[in-house]
Amino acid sequence: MGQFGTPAKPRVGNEGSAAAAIGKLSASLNLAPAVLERGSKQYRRLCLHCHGLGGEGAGATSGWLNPLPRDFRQGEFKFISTAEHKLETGNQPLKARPRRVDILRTLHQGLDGTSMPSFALLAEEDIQALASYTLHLSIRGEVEYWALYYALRQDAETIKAIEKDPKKEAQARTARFLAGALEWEDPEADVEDFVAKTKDKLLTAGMEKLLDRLLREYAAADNNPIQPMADPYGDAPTTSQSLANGLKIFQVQCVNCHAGYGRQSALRFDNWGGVVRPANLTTPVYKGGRRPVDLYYRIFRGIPPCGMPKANLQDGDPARQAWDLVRFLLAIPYPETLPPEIRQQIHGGAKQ
Amino acid sequence: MLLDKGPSAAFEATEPAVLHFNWSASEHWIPLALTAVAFFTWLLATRSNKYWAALIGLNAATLAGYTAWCACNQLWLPETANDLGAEVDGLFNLVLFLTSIFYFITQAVLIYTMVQKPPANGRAKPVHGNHTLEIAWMLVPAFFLAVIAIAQLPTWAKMKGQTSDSSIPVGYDPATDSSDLLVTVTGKQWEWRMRYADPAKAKPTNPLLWASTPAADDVHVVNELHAWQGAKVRLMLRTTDVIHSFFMPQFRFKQDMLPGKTIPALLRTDKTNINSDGTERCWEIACAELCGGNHYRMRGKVVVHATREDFMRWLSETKTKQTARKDSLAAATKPSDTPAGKE
Amino acid sequence: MSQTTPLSQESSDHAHKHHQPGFIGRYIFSTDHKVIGIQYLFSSLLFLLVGGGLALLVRLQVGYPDQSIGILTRLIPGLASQIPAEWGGRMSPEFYTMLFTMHATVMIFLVIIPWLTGAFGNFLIPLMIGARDMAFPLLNMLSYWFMWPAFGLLMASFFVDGGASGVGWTAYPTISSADLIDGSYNSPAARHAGLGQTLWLLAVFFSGVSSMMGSVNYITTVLHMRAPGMSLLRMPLTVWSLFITAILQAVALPALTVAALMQLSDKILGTVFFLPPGGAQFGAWSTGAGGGQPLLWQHLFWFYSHPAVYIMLLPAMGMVSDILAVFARKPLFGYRPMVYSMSAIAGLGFIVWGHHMFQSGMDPRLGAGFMLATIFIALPSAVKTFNWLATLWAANIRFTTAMLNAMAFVSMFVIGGLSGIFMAVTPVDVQIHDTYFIVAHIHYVLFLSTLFGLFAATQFWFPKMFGRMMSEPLGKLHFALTFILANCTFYPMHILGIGGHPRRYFDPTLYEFLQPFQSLNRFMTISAMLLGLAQLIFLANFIFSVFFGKKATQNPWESNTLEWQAPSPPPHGNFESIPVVYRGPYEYGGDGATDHTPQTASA
Repeated sequence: MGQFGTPAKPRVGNEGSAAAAIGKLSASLNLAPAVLERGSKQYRRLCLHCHGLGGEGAGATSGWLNPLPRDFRQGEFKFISTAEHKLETGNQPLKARPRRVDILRTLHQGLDGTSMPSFALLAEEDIQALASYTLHLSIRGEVEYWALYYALRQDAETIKAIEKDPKKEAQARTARFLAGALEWEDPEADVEDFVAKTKDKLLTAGMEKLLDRLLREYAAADNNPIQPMADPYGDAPTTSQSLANGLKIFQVQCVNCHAGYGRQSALRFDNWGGVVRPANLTTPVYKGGRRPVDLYYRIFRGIPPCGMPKANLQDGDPARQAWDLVRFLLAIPYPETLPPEIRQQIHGGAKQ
Repeated sequence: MLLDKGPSAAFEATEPAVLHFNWSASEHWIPLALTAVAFFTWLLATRSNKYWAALIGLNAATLAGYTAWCACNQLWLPETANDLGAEVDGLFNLVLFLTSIFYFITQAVLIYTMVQKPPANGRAKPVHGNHTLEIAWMLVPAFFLAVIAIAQLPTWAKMKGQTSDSSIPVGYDPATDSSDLLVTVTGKQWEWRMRYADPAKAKPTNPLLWASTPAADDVHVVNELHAWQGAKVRLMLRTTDVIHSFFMPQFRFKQDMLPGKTIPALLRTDKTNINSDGTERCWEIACAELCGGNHYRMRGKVVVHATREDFMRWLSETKTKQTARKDSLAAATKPSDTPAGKE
Repeated sequence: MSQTTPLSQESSDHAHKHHQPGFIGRYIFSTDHKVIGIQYLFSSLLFLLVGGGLALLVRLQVGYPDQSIGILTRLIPGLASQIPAEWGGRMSPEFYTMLFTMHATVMIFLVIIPWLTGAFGNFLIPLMIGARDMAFPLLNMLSYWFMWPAFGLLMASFFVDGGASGVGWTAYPTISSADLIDGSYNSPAARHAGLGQTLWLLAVFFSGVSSMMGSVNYITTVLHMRAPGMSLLRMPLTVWSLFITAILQAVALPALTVAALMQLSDKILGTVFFLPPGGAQFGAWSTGAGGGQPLLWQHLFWFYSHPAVYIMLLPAMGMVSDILAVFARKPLFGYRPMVYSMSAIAGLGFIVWGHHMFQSGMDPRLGAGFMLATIFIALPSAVKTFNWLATLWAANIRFTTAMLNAMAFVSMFVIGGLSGIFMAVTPVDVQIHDTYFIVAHIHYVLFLSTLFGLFAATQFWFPKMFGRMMSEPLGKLHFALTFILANCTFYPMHILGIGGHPRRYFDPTLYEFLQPFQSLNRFMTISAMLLGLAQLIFLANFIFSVFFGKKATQNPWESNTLEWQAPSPPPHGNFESIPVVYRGPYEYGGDGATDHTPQTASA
């Protein structure tokens, strides 16, 4: 059953020489078969009806939910705290990967304002296992997606390769798949040589290459958290000056998308083809968590799959600016905490 | 590959598609045994109609005996967590006692009529009724029903009313709210979102208004209701979507949440569920009004801390987490440190 | 009131003599009350199978929430889309909500009410009061054929996008009424609250119109078409109960019909009768602002549906009273108190609806008022029970199948009635409201009482309907099995409810406090399966006896009432000549030449 087992007996990677590195990586990502099996059991009991057996986000209930349940197979996550980084090989990660704690936070807190509930009442082992299984489904989905992608791709180069010898279409496609998989690693890689060496195990070998790459990306994400700049105000309460600064930054950086403080934001598409609306910041509903540090992550990482860019704070004291903005965002749902002129601007002649 | 044969094939490879019965479990063979009993009664009843009396009589006796057995084996009302619980259980027992008398009398008479000797020459006396009897068996149950009706009034007032010193429920007046702790519970498909007013700070002047307009220093928690032993907790019950019902079996507490309304309810926590060794007895919250497919998933838990200090410690810890400007989780959750990682 | 209306009687004679209907006129679009009654009987038996099957699926899920039931898709191919293997051979929680909603709807609107008032009401009222037909035969036919849109809409709703309604038979807003006005009928609240719910509302509407036509007909017939000498207080209790039921229905039904229309317009026209001013939020979906009140629906709904409980019980009480008297060979004890207590139940039944709403957020002061009325509605039921027992006292009992079922009715009605008192005690209701205790209570009243009454009545009047007897041995076997297994299936639900097990849970094992009850859940599931199988005996007996049963004589049970003075089965027009009534219906026993004196026997 390939490199991923079945839902009842999930695993990552094959046993054997080529998979030794994969095994080591998956252990460090807590993807051991025993953990995955436990996670899969809970997943099939608690998650399957929305997220679907394969993590495709199209379970029985999904059609009646807005936002739609996440499709894990793209390997993309919205609420992440990973700093931008490069892999050891010097390559960019294919996608912005989440850290394990990001998945754990979602499992613990749920996503306020969506149908994703909190699972905090489960045993901690189960929550950990669910996080592992979520990673497993993402990795599996992505590997299989690319394998299929190249198996079906009809671009000019593939067609040319097939036309050369129509009888060897499968081989030609696999070569294209490998070329795709390897060019991320090393533009100079000798695909012909690789094909010659692996012969009839081409597809497996190619998928293993990709798997290895993805595992390294997730491991690297775990090791590259955003390090929030220290809050220059410490624990001091928010000042009017701070709010005024925050408002100023907001009007430069955020207001294009969060029009009317999010009350009139326009719909956009996300990477899954769904429709999202930049958050209404005047209500204290925070999908990605309500801690100041969560807001900091959103500001400095954006939400990559939805096209939310990271804020670009260059001039002046970046730490002060960052925390002014965070404090401003945390304050605007509560009109009574705002100075009159800011309140006037955000809430109009609000009551109270 | 998972997609080779479609997900179903992958699933079926390891999961049997057949419902599995463990026939040695009593719950599986007893119904079969009772079916056999019914069948043999039918066979025997071709000889004598007395067996029909036996069937109906044994059934009535078994139901009573089974109920008593359940009461003695914890298949009964859950532990009570407040004084109202004891009152409710008292009323339950009162009703159980009175209805049992009625039950045994009626069933016994019914069985007796089935085994009685037929009247001589096969002709019953044509009695059309008896005025005195009718009056008697109207007045006696009426008396017991009146007792039941009156006995419950004070408890009802205490449960649903807003003060404890009236035998008629009193409406909620935010000005005289005397609770120790304010919690807004917002039901949504499918979880409970709790919002605590910090009891160390001044109480919101109008709790009803506070329930619909959050304050900046509220503490937000999902699915967990915390309080301390001896607290008077004011729950403000709200919902954003459909009707939910906030049910805490141990507190004998159940109240629907209505869209568009804030329903104030008073909860007394007279007992802690933290054992002396620090472990916690599981007191759960459930939803008792159909709210969609995942109605059964609205599970929450109640923690009644032993002292107010314990509660305040929990609250301030939660608040610290909520106002974190650094990610404390970052260091602590290296995969190798997690419990699952040790497996 | 001994005079009848000569005019209507004559016009019915007129139709009898000159109208020669063909096959379709005689058996399909018939205006003969007996044919319509039998049509109702067959329809409700058919839907009994549907409703029972849905119940078994519900039980299967509750008993074995973690296990694969994929095997069912091989037996019932239609289920394959609802229990796909990629969900581990489990049904989806939404599908489960649909199952119990449709179980309740089918059983209440398509089985119990049509069987009681449709089948027996139609068949028995004219025969028992000595009339040739109903007062309005055409209206009667229309009332039956107005059921079919209801049948059809409910069955069709299984196959529409999203499936049949899954918001509970109580259809509380906002889960039922919330709607996205985008023409798709999709509901943001639940998968099974879209087009299926719209069809459900239409079906309820049709069934309401149908019942209303029936009620008007029954009331008029009873008041105007009685045979000479048949005063109101000489009517058998069956007729009394059906008469009172018809009045109940006529007064209460408009509330439900109107409420259904209001919810329908909320769903398809965008009105906001049941949507609160703030609207409702479902994730990123919003209904927009409303201006109504969800509680309004509950008041309107229960204003009908509580009386409906008596609509579903009173006729069974009446029929059981008659059957008990016949087989006790003894007059019914306390005829007048029985009539008065039925009237009292009907009257009080109108002011107790609030007991369904003790926890609904209704003002608790109002709750106390409803509590008092509810407590005292137990009184007339107690009086009836005592009178039944007194009827059996010192009687010469004939243990026929009908009698056994009627006695079981008495035994089980006591349980169903007594468990009601627990819920009337408002503080206790806090604990057991919306738990399995309620499920146990309604099934003790509707299954173990009403259905046993119906089994008794079917066995009893079968010879009059089809001119053949149902098999006694098979009937008794069915009785023994059903009696034991129904108790196994429904009694433990009381225990679950006391423990706090909420209703309508897809997977109770998620909760620690429910773990100890799971083996009971399995016990009930196995019992329910066997109970379902036992009903096949009844159906087999029924169908076999229609064709091959022993030929019935005119009065096989030696009963006094008028229907037994007509041939079995009665011809079109029922009686050779309109009978004249000289006495009450319960003159059994005594020292006369026979132990029974028919109502037509002159002094």
